[in-house]
Amino acid sequence: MSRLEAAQERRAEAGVPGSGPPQASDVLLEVRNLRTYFHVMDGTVRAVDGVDFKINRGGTLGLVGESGCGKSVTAHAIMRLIETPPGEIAEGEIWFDGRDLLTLSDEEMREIRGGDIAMIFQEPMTSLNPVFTVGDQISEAVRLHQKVSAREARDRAIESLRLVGLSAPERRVRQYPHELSGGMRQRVLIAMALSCSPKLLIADEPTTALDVTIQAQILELINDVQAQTGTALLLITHDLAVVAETVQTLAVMYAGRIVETGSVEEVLLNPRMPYTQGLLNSIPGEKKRGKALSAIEGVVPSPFRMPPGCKFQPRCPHQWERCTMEPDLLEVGRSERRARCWLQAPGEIERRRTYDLAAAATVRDVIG
Amino acid sequence: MTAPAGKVSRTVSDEVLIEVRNVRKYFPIMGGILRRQVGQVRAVDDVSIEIRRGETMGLVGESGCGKTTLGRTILRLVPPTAGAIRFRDVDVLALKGDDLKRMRRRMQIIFQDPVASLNPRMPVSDIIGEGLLAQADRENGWGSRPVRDGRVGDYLEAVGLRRSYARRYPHEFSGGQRQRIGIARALALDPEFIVCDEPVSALDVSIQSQILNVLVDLRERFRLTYLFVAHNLSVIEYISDRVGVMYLGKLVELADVDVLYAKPRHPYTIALLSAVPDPDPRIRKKRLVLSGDVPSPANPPSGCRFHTRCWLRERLGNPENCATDDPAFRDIGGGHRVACHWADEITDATVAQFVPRVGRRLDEVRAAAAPAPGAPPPTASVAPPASPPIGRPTSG
Amino acid sequence: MDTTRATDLAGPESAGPAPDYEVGLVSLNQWQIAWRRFRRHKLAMFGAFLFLGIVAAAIALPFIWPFDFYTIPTPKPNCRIGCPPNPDNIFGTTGGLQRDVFTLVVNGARVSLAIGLGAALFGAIIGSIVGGVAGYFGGWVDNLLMRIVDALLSLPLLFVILVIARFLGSGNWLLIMVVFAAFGWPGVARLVRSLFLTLRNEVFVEAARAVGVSSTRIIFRHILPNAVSPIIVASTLAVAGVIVGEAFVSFLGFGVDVTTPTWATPSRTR
Repeated sequence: MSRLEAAQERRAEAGVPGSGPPQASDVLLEVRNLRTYFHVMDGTVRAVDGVDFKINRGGTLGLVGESGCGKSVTAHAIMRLIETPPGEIAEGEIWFDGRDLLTLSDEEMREIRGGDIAMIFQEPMTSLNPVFTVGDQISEAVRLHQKVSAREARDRAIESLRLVGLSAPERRVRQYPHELSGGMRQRVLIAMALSCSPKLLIADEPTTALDVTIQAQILELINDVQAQTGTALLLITHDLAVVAETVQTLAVMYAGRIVETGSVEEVLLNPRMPYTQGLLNSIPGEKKRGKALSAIEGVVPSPFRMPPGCKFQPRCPHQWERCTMEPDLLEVGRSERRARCWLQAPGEIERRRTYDLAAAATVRDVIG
Repeated sequence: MTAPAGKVSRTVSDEVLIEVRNVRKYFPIMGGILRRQVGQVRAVDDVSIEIRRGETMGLVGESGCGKTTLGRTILRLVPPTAGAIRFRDVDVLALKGDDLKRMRRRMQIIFQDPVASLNPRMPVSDIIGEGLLAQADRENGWGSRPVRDGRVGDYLEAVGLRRSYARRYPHEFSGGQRQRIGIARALALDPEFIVCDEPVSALDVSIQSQILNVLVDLRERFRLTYLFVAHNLSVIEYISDRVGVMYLGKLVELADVDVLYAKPRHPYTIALLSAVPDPDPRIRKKRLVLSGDVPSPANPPSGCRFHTRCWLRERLGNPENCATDDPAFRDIGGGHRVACHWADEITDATVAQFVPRVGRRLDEVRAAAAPAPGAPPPTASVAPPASPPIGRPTSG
Repeated sequence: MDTTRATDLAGPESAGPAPDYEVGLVSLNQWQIAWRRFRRHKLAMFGAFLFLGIVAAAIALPFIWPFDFYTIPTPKPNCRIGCPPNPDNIFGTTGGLQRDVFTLVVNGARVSLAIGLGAALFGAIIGSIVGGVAGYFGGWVDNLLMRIVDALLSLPLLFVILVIARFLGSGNWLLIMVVFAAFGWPGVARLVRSLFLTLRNEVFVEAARAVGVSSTRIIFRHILPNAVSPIIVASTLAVAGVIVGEAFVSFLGFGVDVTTPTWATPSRTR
C-alpha cells in the first residue's frame, strides 16, 4: 500500500484539483485513475491501468470486455478484495458516498462490504457455504451490518427471498444450498446481497454460469429489483447482449483501460472505437450465414509484452503511425461519450469517414 | 477462406453418413452402503437422428439435456444402454479391438475446454502426433517420426498456427490457440465426421468468431460432416444446416435451420429463442420467461417431459394428455419434426409475439406484400422463405 | 537451449507483418518451469543444499572418521553417562563404551539413507503399479486390490516388522529395507488410485482414447506424468518415516545387526 499512500500524499501536497470527493451530490461512486498491479514471478501485470468512471445514485453501468481485460479486478478493487501480495492497488481514488474507500481502515471497509456495497459472484455453487442453511447465511449477513434481533433478521431473510421470487420462502430458509438448483442459488445470492438494502450492487458475470432460460429469469429479476429498490448497479459481463438489456451506461474495457464509454444505445448502435466495433461484429447470427465472420485478428497481448501506444493497435484494422502513441479517452461530440482512439482526434476527418462506413455496416449486420 | 460458406456452394448429399436409431444412455446412480444401483439418470432417452454426408447438424439444449452424451455415444466414447448406430454401412456398436481403432480415424471429436483437453506434460508435436502414431500402418507411414512431424506441421498451418509451435507446451498458448491445437489433433487423422462438442463456449467472443471461421473453412476444404453441439443459439444458427433441440434426454424438435428459427413449433424451442438476449438496446423485449428449473433427468416428469414448465399447456387450460402421454416425434411437413401434442396450436403470430426477430421479419414480409408506397422493401432480404421446398407447414 | 528457440522465432517463419505478441519468447517444459520456481524459492534451495550436504558427508566422511565396532575408545572417568560435546567429540559421546557420536552419525548415514531412500522408492514403485491398475481399470480389479491394501493398512506396521524380523532376522539391512518397502506401499497405492480415478476422467485422456491410443500408453504417457508430483511428495515424507522406523526397530534389537552402523546406533550403543 505504500506506493498508494505516497501517491495520495503527493496529490494532497500539490493540491491537484482532481482529488477530493465529487462535487455533484448525485454521484454515488466515482473511480479515478485506478491502477491495480499484480507482482508475479514473470514481472508485473498491470491488470487495471488507469480506470475512471462514475455511477449516479440509482444509476446502472455495464463494464464489458473479454477475459483478462481487468473488469473483474476493478470490481474487486472497489470492494478492496485484492489479495496483497501479489496484488496491489498502486494508485487511484474510489469515492463512494463522500468517502475514499482506499483510505478507510479494514474495520470500516468491512462495514461497507455487504452493507452499502453488495456483490454477486459468477459461481453460485461456491459462493454459498454448504454447511449452513440459506436462512442462516442471509440472517448472518443482516446481523453483521444492522443491530437487529435474530427473529427480525430471519424475517428480513424471508422477505428478501420473497423479493427475488423464490416460492415458499418460509420453507426455503430452512434448506441447505445443495437442495437448490443453480438458478435458485443465484437468486439466494441476490437475496443475500439485497438483504441490507445496499446503495450499490456489483454483479460480476451473474449469468455466465447459467443456462439461457435461467439467464432470462435472473436478468429480469435484476432489472426488477434494481427498479424497485433504486439501488445503483455495476454489471460486469463479457456479453454485449446482456448489457443491452440491463444497463443505461456502458464502459468497454481492453487491456486494463476503458476504451469507450457512453449510453448503451450510443455505444452499441454507433461504436466509436474499432475494438467495440469488432466485438459487435463477432456476434454470429442469421445475417452472417454463408459469410466468414469478421473476427478480430490475433489475441489479447501478453501482459508482459504490451505493444507501445494504443494497446489494441496490433489487432486493429484501421491502425496507422499515430497509433504507436498512447491515445487519451477522447470526447466524441457530447460529453460523457468518449473513445480511446486517434480516429476521434480533431483533424482525422478522412480516416474517420472510412471507419464510419465500416462501423455502420457492422451495426446493420448485427442489429439492424 | 476462398469459397463462401453457404450451403449453396457446399454439397450436402442425400447419402446418410451417420444413422442413430433409438439410442438410450442411462447412467446408474449408486447409493446405500452396499453401493447398489438405486436409480438411473436418463441422459439420452430414445433418440433417433440421421446425419447426411457433408451437412452440419446442430444440437442445442440446456445443460443436462444429453446433447454432449449423445455425441460421445456416437463416437463410442460412452457405451450406449440400447439402440443402434451406423456409420455408412458399419455397425459402430459391434466394432472391437483393431476395427474400432481404425474406425476412430474416420470419426473425431473437438472438445469444449481448451485447457483440460490438452495434456499439460506433452509438447504440441506429441499431442497431435499421438493419434498418428496410434493409427500408423504400412500404408500411411505415420510410424516414422519425420513423416509424423511433417504432418503435424501441415495441420498446425491448416488451423492457422505456425509450424514452429510444435515444440511448445500447451500452457504457452491462449485459449483460442489451444482450441486450434485441439482441432488440428482431430483433423490430422483425416476424418470424415467430427463431433464438435461446444467448441467455442469457453472462448471470448472475438476468439469465438476466429474459431468458427476456422471450422467453416476446414469443413469446405476437407469435406467434413459435423455434429455441432452447443448451447448458444446464434452460434448454432450460423454454422448449422439442420438443427435438433434437446430437452431432458429427448429430441423435441428437428428442422432445417431457417425453418427452426423462423417457424419453431415446439413451445420449448420458442422459449429458448425468446430467452436469448438481443444486442439491440432499442428493444427491451417482452420475454417468455419459463418458470422453474429443468427437472432432474434421474426422475423426469411423466408424459411430455416439458409439461411442468410449458407455457402453451398453461394457455390451453392444462390439457390432460400432456401429463400422461409421451408425445410422438412426428413430421409436420418437409422433414420438420416436433414432439408436442399441441404443436398445431402455434402459429407464426404466436411466435412473433415472443421472438422479436421473427416478429420483425413478419412485419417486413407484410410490408413487402402490402402495396405500401412509402416503405421500400428492405435491402438485405436474404432471410424470408428463401429455402425452396421445405417449411410450408401449418402457418395458421 | 532457450536461445535457439528465441532465434527460431525471429527466423523466416515468424517474419510476419507484425511482431509476435501472441506467445512468449522462450519455451519451457514442465520440468524446466518447476526447476525455475524451485530456484527462486529460498527455503527449498536451502533444503536441497542441506540434503545434498548430508549425502556428500555420508559418502565422504567415513573415510576420515572410520567406524570400527571392535575398537573401543579409552574411557574417560567423568563420562559414564556420556560426554557432552567437546573439542574431541563435537557431538559428545555415548554412555557406557563412550563411542564418539559424530563418528556414529557419519558412518550410520550410509545405511540409514539407503534404507530410507530404497524403501521409499520401492514402495512408490509397487504402490504406483497397484494403485494405477486399480484406479485405471476400476471394477472388481479395483475392489480386490483395495481390500488387500485396506488389510495391510489395518496392521500395525512396526509390530509386524518386529515379528518378521524375529523369524527372518539375520540383521541384514537389505532385508529390513525390503520389509519396509513391502509394508510401505499400500499408502502410496491409495494415493495413486485416487489420482488415477480423477485423471482418467480428464478430457485429455478422453481425447487420447478418441484417437485410438492404447491403455498402456494412456497410463504411462498421460496419467502417470500428471500424477508424479504428489507421488514424489508422499515418497519424500516416507523416507523420513522409514529412517525413524528402522531406528525404532533396531533400538529394540530386531533390526540391523549392531556391528553395522546406522542412525539407530547412537541410541543403542552402550
